[in-house]
Amino acid sequence: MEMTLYAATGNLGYGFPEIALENALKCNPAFLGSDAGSCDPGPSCLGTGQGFTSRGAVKRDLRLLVKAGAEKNIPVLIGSAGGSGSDAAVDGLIEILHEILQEEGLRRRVFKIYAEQSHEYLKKKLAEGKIVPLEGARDLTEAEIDASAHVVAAMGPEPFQEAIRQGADIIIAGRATDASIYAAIPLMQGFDPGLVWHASKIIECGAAMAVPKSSDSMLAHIHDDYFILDPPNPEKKVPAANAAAHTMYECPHPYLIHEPSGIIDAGECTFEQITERTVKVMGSKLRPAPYSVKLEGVESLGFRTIAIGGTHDPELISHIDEHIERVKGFLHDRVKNVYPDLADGGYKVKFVVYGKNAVMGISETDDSVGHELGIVIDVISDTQDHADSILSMARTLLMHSNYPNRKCIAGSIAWLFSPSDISVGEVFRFNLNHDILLDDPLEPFRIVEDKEV
Amino acid sequence: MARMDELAYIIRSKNAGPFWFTLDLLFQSEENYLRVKNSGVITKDLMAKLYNRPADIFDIYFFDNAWGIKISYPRTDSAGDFGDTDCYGAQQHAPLLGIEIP
Repeated sequence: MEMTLYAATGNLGYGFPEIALENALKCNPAFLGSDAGSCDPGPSCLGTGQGFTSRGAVKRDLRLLVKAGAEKNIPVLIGSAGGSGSDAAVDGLIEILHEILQEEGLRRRVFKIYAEQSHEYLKKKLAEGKIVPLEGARDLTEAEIDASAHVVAAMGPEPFQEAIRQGADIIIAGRATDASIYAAIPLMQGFDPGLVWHASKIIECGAAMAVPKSSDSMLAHIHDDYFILDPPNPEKKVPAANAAAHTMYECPHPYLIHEPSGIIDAGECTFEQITERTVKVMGSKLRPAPYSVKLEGVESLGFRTIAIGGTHDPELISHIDEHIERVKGFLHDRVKNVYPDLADGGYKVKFVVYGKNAVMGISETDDSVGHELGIVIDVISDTQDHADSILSMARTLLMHSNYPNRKCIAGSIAWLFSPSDISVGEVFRFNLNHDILLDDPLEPFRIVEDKEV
Repeated sequence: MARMDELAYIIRSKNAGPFWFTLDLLFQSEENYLRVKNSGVITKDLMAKLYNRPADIFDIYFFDNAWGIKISYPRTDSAGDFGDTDCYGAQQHAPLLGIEIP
């Protein structure tokens, strides 16, 4: 038995060369897959429904996959649509798909899988004791559910499998674990779960483990007791060490990786260089665990305004921390004059000092400071108007407040832009770090055929 | 003595989900991997010193089949939260570069 899995790119819209897809099709892949999201860009994607890739680039990648899928009559599977896999993000990608199908004159059966969770459903599962905190998290409360703006659950392979059973040619799924996109079809065909999950986990970033490094496609050929990693672009090679290293990527543990239906154990795997370009992997296992899906949720922090500037003044640089504390105090007084209700707890401000400790924060142990410092003022408040207004006060106070031995009395900061103040919009924070235990892997997900194509 | 950036060919950091940082040290030879692993230098106490965080928050793993060392620890602020300044967690690796290995 053999099956070929195709991962187009690490993220739909990051791109892949057409030659890679052409060569991959010669290997008769069982399907064409691509991940389309991640929580790496932070909570804003889920909060706003906006993606982190260019719409034009997403359309280009999806068009190639849709055309190739129609030509070979194999399914196209997209997971974590639109960055976050929220319902709005699924609908946004469906709109792009409609344009492609119309422009190409194609008729395909399209299924949407929604992953967003209602407060009502979450409270019901909480009451049943089915929502469990992950390491480092506390028990979830109803208040935290109520505070959530959007919550998605990361689906396993089962919703994809159900859509395939119902006759899907193209699946646009909301939040899914990256590996589930690729594991769905080979698991349906009875391939070894350990090998399928491990191969799926490795190829979910496309050709990230191949050299030379650039966004590209990857094939995994699954056999009875091993799989082969095979980059379809002839210019790419997979070094065995990279394949092994990629198993560790972005996970808290190097070789135990939680997936909805169990834990991938790659601890006893061997990674063997077969040709200069390909690697054979053996020994991957799937350890059983109660079926669970991960929740990702965000709550609003309010609205943000920022300003970017810098200083080259040695007196300010040598006393920057105390000056910032002074300015924070002046700002509190100023806000109290203008917005008495906001002065205590109605806004947050921080001054991020590049050249000192901005990147490492609390973990910075190097006390050397650059000859110039970049400063970002960050203000969050309950409305954009309030954030804009408080930022403008903070900017003026940082610019003009005195400090000892100040000679540059016309202004202490070089502002980068005009206008100096940038309204960012509503911003969010991740507020859930929990799993839902499920008896039915389909329960939280809505599988809907798109009748508009 | 040799510095870590002479022994490891990849020294990287990344989020492992929005609430954790993970650091990977990857080696191109078993010799370099075992030299670092067997030196006993990579400990929770060393991490506490390099990262100014409590020693017991660090999980340290050695992956013999991949010649890799992984160190995971919780973030103080989740990715993208108000206090966070490294949303992808991609720039937390630098304190590892100069570790001296006998």
